[in-house]
Amino acid sequence: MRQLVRTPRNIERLRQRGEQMLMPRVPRITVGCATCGCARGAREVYTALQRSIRRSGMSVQLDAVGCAGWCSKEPLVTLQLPGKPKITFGMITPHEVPSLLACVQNATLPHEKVLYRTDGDDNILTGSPTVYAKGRHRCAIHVPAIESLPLFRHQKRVVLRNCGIIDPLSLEQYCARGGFSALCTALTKCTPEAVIKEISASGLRGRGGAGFPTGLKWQAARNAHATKKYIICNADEGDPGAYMDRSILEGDPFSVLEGMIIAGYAIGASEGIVYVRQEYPRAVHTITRAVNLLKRSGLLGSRILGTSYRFTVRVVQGAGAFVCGEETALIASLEGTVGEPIPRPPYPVEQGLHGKPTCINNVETLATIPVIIARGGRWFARIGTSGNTGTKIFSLVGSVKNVGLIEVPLGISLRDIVQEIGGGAGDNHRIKAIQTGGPSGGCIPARRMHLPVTYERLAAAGSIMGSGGMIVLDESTCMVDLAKYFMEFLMNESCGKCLPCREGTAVAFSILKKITNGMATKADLTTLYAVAEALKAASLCGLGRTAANPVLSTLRYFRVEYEAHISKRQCPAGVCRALIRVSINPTVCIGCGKCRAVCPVGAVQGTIKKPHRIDRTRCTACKTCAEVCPVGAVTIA
Amino acid sequence: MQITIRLNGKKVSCAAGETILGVARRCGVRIPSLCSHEALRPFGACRLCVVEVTFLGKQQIVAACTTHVSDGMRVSTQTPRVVSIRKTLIGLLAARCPEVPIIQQLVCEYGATTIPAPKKNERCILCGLCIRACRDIVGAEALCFAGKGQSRTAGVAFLRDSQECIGCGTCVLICPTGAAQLHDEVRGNATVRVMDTWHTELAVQHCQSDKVPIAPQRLRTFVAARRKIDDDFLQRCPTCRVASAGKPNR
Repeated sequence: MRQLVRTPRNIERLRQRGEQMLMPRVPRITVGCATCGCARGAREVYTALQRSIRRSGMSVQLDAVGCAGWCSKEPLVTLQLPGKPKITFGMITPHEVPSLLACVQNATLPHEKVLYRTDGDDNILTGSPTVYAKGRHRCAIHVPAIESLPLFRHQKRVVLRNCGIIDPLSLEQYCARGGFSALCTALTKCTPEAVIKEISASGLRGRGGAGFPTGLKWQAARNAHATKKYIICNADEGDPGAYMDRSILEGDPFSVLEGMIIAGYAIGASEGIVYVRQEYPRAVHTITRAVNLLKRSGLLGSRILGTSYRFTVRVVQGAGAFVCGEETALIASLEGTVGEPIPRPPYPVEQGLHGKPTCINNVETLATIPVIIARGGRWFARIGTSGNTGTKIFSLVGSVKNVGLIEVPLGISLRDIVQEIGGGAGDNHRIKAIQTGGPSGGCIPARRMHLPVTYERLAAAGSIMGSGGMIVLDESTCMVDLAKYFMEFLMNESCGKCLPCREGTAVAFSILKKITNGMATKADLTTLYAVAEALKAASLCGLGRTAANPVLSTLRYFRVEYEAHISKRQCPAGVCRALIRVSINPTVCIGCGKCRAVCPVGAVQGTIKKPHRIDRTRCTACKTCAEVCPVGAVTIA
Repeated sequence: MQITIRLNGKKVSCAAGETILGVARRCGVRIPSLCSHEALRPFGACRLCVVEVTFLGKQQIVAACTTHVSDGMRVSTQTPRVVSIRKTLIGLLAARCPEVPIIQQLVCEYGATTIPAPKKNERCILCGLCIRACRDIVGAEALCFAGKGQSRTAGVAFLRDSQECIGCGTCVLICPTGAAQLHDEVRGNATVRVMDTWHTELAVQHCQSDKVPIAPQRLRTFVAARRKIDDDFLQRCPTCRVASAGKPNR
């Protein structure tokens, strides 16, 4: 049975125990078991390790941790021998478990899947790093240090401080990394006003996308007079390709809850709600268990840390409507009605859930709060640039070598993110554009990669910061097709309440579809502009107001492609099926017959060792033949 | 509290808490709107009432029905940008509901061209007036929206055979496009009120004395339960009520 945490001294004791768990006298193995890891078989690796350890009778501490960030190398396994640097291995399969355990027994590294070594992990909250090994160690001498990898060198992991390091549900390990020290400071040494002042001084802006200053929001919620106030953690992350919030909830749920308790104290709320989408089963499971653990230990409930402050949290699952990430729609959903936005004002901080003042913050924002309280607003404000302080997590996906979850100081250039951290596009590929901000964001062309990542500069370039999705596109992407994809998503996710969004997204989608089918005229482009303008200016909520971004930004930078589709009936990227022709160059073709074997419609004809040809009447332009051709004889035009 | 705004350049004094649309209507400035009604809270669905507002140095397009006036606000109802947005919105509506007179009128007024939209030949513009009137004025809560996005429709629960609809006809009265309709049908001795749009039929109460159809039975019980009116009184037609004593029981 877990002991009650009633005083700061209890937390100190937890911290000491946690330190022994993070740097045990026995070898420690961790497996990244967040959703990204599990999708690549982390759970199987974990059970295989568990079984082998039990069978061999070795004394090893095995922990399932969150995502360490290098998602393209999942499952990530770390091995930490006492007094030696922590070694991280990537793409481990259950078959490699015996050789991993051999490493433990022999303290050697005959392993080809080694990624990097960590001599010490920064401890953002306390400022003193957790040092695993001092000096150079023979076993790890050839392993690159984590600081030497471009992927990590440009990062600053403030919000992701614990992800991939601690067992997400171990209170001790969380405390060992400085957890709940901020809560102690806030509750025992600060007035609510002082907490808000510190947040305002930090310059923290809401990480959900709009970038509203958190300090101002809290002040407004504090000023609202009511018998009951709510704090809501918005974990309804709906952008395709973005998974920042999920990773935090899965890797470090206590940091979010600590942020919520502090936020509740600052604005005078007694109840917190975590609104998390049902499509995140692992995140739901982890945050629910974390809430229960805190309730049992007395950190949630009445008289928190011996003060008169009382705060509870409950977890509510959303059904996954994209629009429910919008504040007023989220509140409607929580109240049990249809998740549709209502006009503001009144703002939720004045009249929100059940008519009471409600402060809604994003997961990432809340996870940042403990750091600001522990290290001070001015410390935080020194990270990033003025007006855009702190760090931001991005999920870097698409045509880059290192796909993963990264955290960088704001103001870093897109080039640093894509070329350095992401490692650039793969071989033989050229980056064409970077799509930021999810479906409501826009595309920034490669020639503008020098752009610093700040709320204002991205908006000026026709995109948005959004919640942090970043999709890198190479020249095999058709920008019209991309705009069509996002518009279809928005059309399906529009709640249908207001006319511009309901009809406008549908019209824009049908025009984009016409363009990709080669059926559009110049007049359609004019209509598209008019509809985009109406969407942007007249829609009721943020979904509609930003829905035109994918179209407007691609039209702004890639108008040539639109025109090629319309006047020349060509798709320069070779993507739009109605506009491309697949043929086999007879002088290159070696007649291997691979294309004939894979063609799903039997359009490829020919005999072995003789040049093949494609029957245009049957061909659906699926390009499967091009993928299998060993000599590149298939041309797409 | 009395505040002053400039409406199309003219100084107008108004009360704090008034909406731009309310002020404009009072001053006789026409702003087209399909989803607002004096008796109902603003909803902000049709967005035809967009106006350009300059306030605190910021210029933006807002919906007049949901935006409250602030001191020193400058409102323009007919700038080229506003007109072009309205034109687009009317064009979208025209594609959805080509046969609705009120929309045809707007098309003429603004010279809008139809923008081909996927949904065609509807009468309902999803303004939600029927739903809000049924909920906020009548209190029957029989109507609601169903589906989202393109498949959004207004209707009763499960879109047919409502157990809540009382057949009062408020929805028909308030509908700006004539999408909501009802008719009474005589079937033998009985009369049935058919709510065509809601796929619901209700038995009509006949007068106890002269057998004239009065109103749906469910409407009678609905009123009786809320207004403490003698049921006997409600079961008579207006003529018989006067004849039977001329003293309505309060």
